[in-house]
Amino acid sequence: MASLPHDVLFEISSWLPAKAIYKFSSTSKFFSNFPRDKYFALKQTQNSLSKIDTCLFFQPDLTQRYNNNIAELHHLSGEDHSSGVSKVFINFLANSAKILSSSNGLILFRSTSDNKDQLFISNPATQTLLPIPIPDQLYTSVDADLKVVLQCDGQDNCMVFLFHDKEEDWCSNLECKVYATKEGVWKKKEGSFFTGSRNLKFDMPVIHNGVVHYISDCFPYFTKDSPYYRPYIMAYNFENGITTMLNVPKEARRGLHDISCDMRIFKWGKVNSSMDQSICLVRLRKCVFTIWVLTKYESSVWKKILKLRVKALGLIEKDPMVKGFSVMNGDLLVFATNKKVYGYGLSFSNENYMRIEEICEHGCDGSMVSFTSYSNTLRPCGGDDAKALLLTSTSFNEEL
Amino acid sequence: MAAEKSSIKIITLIAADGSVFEVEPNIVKEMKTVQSYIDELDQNTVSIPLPNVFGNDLAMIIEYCKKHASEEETKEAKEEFDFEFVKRMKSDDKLRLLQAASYLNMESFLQFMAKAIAAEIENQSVEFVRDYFQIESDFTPEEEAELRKENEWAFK
Repeated sequence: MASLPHDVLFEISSWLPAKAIYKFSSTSKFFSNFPRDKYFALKQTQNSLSKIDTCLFFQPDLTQRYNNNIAELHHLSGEDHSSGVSKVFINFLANSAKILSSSNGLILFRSTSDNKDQLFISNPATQTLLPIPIPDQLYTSVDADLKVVLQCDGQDNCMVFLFHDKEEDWCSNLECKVYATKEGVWKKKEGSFFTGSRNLKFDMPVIHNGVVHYISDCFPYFTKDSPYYRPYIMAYNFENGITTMLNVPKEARRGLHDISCDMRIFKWGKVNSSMDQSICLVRLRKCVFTIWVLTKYESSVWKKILKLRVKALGLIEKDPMVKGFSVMNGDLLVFATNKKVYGYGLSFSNENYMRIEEICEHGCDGSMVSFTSYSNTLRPCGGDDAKALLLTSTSFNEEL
Repeated sequence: MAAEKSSIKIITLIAADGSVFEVEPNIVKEMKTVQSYIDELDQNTVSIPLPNVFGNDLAMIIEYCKKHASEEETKEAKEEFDFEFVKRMKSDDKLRLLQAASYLNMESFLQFMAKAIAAEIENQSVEFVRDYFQIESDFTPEEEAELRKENEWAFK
């Protein structure tokens, strides 16, 4: 058989994860151009939108300015090392960064170094970083957590959304600012975000159809006659600035007053599968996971899909304690115990459907952990690429 | 639609080895090379020679097109079909089908095969990829050594 034409090799390579592209750049001169080719990077990014995330970042779940010098990257299926990032970058994260958000190949992190409090959009595979200034008025509370979320949907633009208290108003209205990497400035959004009286979990946003959703805590600090007696989900539409409230499933409200109760929401529905995209709610209470899927958005109708007792899963560990959990790729429950990370498939299209699989061991022993799902792409950091810095460059070291 | 205009009922595809396939117009819609043939002709029946595609491969491509053109099949069934379709193929089959897709100018099938091949090679070595695609290195040993050093992390 004759060797393949270049356009066919280009097409095949554009379906590889970033790490494999760097590896195969030693194949020939033609292959060695891929990591630097902008058109190729955009195509590879576009293709990765229809693939699942294969990696997850791991950090202790502490305040944003503190990471205990821990950052780890793990692979969803243990054998697959074709995606990943350089050890140099992981070390950099451990030394000076706390990951806050992730979107289609890029991460948003906050610097933990004492010198400068700053946000960065970064591509861990290409080791590029784009500094994002924190709006001046927020500097009054340096150590407070920022309520930020990153969204990269289009080809080369990324948005950072930030919610913050209004200066003149301390009640439940937050102002929303947006930073588009193409424009490079923070802009105020019309319409403030009404949060209700409970605290919202701003570290686990779910963006669904252009609307960001946050679930509230479930501590029993309201009386029965309060409209916020029950936990709820608040949704803010980035397009029109309107807030809406969604109810949690009736059944999920039972037994909330147990101190161990933890409710979180995640994206539901795997990309490139026949599953409908929606939101799922995972409740962990007394070492039992219960999962509901939102089937009718407008009327907050939920369907219970699973109840899972951690102790009945046959884990080797004695008395496993859940130290963190998430739903990745819209159909995989991932949870960490003291030492290990496990996955449990939630849909037919997952190869571990109704089956527990050990993903890896981790080194955040003892503390609560947070995971960040990550897909390995060549996506540029957005906007003016000239402003992006290389981790290895001297200009970057001056920046931090 | 060209197919409606000329009211073609059946299209005959003739593979490189002479084997003959009779298909309905909606099956070849994705084959732009074939479609442009049909658009030029104004006949009730058309027979089109495809000298670059072998019968076995054409049979598989038609099977794929039929499944995906069907409105009765559910998304789940198509998903399952795609999975099994790739699973039963050997490496060489995939490459041949990819080249056929390229020749027939079938965009989504080409992507589908490219994705399958990428999944097969991603965990392999540089040497495997050279061998698989029959590529000769055009680097000097020094150039290659330097590149490998530069991207050392990607080999771990």
